[in-house]
Amino acid sequence: MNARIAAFFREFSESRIALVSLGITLFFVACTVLAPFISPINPYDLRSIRLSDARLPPGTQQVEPVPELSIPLAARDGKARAEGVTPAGDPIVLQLVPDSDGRLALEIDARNMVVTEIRLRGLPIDASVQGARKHPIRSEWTLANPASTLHIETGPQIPANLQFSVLIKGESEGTGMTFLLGTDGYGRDMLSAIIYGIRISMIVGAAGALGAMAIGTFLGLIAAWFGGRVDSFIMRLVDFQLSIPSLMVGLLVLTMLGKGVDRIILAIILIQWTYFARTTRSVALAELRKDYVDAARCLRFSALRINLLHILPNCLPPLLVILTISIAGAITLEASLSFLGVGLPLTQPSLGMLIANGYEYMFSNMHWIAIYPGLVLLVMIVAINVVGDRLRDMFNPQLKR
Amino acid sequence: MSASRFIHVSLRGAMGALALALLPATVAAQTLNVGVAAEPTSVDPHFFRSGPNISLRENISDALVYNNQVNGEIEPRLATKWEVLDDSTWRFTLNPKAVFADGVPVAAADVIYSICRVRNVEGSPGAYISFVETIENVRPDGEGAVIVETQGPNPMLLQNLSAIGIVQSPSREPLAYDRENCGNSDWIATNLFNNATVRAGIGPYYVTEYRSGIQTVLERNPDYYGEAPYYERVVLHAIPENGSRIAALLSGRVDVIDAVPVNAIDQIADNPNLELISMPASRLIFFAFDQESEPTPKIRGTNGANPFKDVRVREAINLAVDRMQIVNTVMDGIAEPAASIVMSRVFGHNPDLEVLPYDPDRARQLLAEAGYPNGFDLTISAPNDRYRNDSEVAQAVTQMLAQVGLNVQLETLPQSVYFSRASNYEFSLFMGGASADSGEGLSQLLHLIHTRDSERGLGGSNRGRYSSEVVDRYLGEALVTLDEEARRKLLQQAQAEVYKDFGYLPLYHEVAVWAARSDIHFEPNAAQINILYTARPKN
Repeated sequence: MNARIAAFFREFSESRIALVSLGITLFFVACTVLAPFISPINPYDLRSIRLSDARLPPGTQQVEPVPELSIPLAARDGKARAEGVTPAGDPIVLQLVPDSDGRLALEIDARNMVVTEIRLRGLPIDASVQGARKHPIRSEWTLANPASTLHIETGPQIPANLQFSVLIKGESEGTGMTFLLGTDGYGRDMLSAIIYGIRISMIVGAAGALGAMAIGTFLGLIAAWFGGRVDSFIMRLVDFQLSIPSLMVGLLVLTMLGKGVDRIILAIILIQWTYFARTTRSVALAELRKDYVDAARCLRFSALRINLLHILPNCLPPLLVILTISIAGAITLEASLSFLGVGLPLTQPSLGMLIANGYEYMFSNMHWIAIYPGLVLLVMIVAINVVGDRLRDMFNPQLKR
Repeated sequence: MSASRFIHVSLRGAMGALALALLPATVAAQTLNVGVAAEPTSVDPHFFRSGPNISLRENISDALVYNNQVNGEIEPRLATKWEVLDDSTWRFTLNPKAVFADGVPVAAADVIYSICRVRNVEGSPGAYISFVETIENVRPDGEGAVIVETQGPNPMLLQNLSAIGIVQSPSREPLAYDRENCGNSDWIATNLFNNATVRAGIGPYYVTEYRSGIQTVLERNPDYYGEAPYYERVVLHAIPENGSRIAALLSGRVDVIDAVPVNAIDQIADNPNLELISMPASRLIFFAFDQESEPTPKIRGTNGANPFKDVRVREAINLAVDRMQIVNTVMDGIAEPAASIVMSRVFGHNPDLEVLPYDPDRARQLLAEAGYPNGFDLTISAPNDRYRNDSEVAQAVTQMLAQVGLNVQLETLPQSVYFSRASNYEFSLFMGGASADSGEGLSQLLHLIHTRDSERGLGGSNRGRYSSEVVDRYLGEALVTLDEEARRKLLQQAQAEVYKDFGYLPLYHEVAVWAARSDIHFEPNAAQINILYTARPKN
């Protein structure tokens, strides 16, 4: 037996691509099993996710959120002075004075505090702040790593009354955690979310395909063994089912039964059993005509024994091929359903849902939210399919030398 | 054929092709394509009081008066003028030039029929009833005038009437108004408006096609009495998906989109061919607590008790949510954190109430005091295609509640099932939105914090069934107070009461954002209504 497996593996590895794909598939299987140990955080634990970490690009360090200091300024003829207290307890003094060029100069004396960001909120619409970026909708100017003096342009004349608030953000401490693939819109670490997404996708794919194989093979054997009306009934059922698009069946099941992993698996089984039933039936019909089956019948073996011990093993090679391809199909189906928003709960994303979330950010230059889960899904499905293809080639006698 | 002749011929051909290409282009220029995030659920002007429906009605079914929500003025529409005869009697003169599709001018019979129909729309959630609640009698007054009598003085009558589109009465004889069915049993079915058999009244546009989930096509009304709109046809494409809506605008498939998603603001601001149009909106986004059912449907682990009946739990949840963080991060600054219900620019705002602080420690402590030191299991519910970033905001709230020790799940549903389930009281902590659709705070407060009373059309959005006698008393008094300052005070007091009761979890007031091709003039509106009839190319 061991020699046969070794020979099988040797033949399999004659294709380099298939070997690499097998390696990748095994890597994803490892991710599935080890997800809780290798993932930096548990993305399903809502308590560990902070909104303040949202939408960070890959490689960003997580920092402790720092409270923002808000100091209102009310200026008369461009002159104002206001004081605040830094989180460390030091005083902070803001002074607004008109400078020589008809601009306003805002001097910030923050003592020991390192100011990383200043925002001016509520300036008049025609005012502008030198070197700062304006919020596209609100009257809010943001300046990162500001100098101690800011210049505010207020147009030809300095308004007699000016009111706005200054928001100051200080330096924040890192927590030692780095978001290797960035974070999504909820502050979830993308790497962890992807690892857990792989896990869900693999579990759903494997459970769905295996379930479909069990049911499909069983019905296929029944159809082949009994023939006649039973055969026709089961095969027409298969035809009927194949005439409905699989996504439609999935949508129907999930809208009727609601969201959840178990229901997605059920939907996948409902969709995919047909392929197994067909293949099993056709192979079993060929096998039934062979002499060894007649011999078994002469020995008065029970139908169950003949089917399970004699016919089924001979049907397995093509079924294994379909199984691998079905797993890939099931993962795609789960991803499609999740992308359409009927699959899994929002707080427990699979790869499909991560892609759907990322789709929202397609127009905001935050590529990492959509691209990484998409790439992972792509690689996973290609790898599983290549393995399936290789198996099919090996079981195809016409390709044998 | 010589080369020059060949060039000549092909040039001619090209010119011809160009001319042919230009022809449909000029026709196409008469069509305005609008990508809307939420489509109207019906063309019937009296069917459902929700943003998209109100927005459609504004363009196809004029009311007696128009409530300009930009400057707060009431402007004439079907009524050219109105006078107050005494505290509770109003006389409206109808515009003889305003004619229905068959050329017949609007008459008192139509006004009576329409006001009466509000109570008699089959399958309607009934939310329009509060607008006609105080109307005691409507009767014709000679040729082309109608008298409306209210139950006691009603300061909001004009605002209320501005929400009721006037449809044509099938019979010429005026009905005798009463508070039930006006002795009539033959009401135009909603379906007839939806399949464009019957026009929804007189408006700058009328609906020629309404296909749910796809598009609503509006055609310019050639007989309109007011200024004719520029565009001959307007097509409202229902594109609830944010990415697709932006893609449609960027690709030029639509000219205008509403509810611009937060994530796309920067990109549109940087695009020279597109323009952002914005205005602070009165719509409050909130979570409502189920304060009536016991046990409440979406809470487990409390031995059947409804924790939201305990004011400490409601306070804890209010303190557990960091509104500033939601506004700055999820909404990217395009919203204003809300302290109470009526926003700062709307009549009735209470400036004394402050945005509740974010205090998770105090929240945990309050939960422990209320007897839930280990929290409880809660599923919160939100729509995923109704408000801007609704499911994102809901997920942010879910995270924040998880952080104070509740075991929270989130379910999001499309609005087509969400609101009917909310009205069936199937949720415990659920998202909602309510704007001051009549332009002042009273209607918003009646809708949201008055004890739910569908008979009188009060508390229409109060699906959590918050109920306070004090609030009801203040609002009841405001309903009959003509003096502005006294009324403002009453509205403020009512809000202070809800604030003290933590009757809601107010999150923020939206800022309405549209995006349009930069060569199109499109009018923003605080009620987030799409005003299509003033849209035109910029010169």
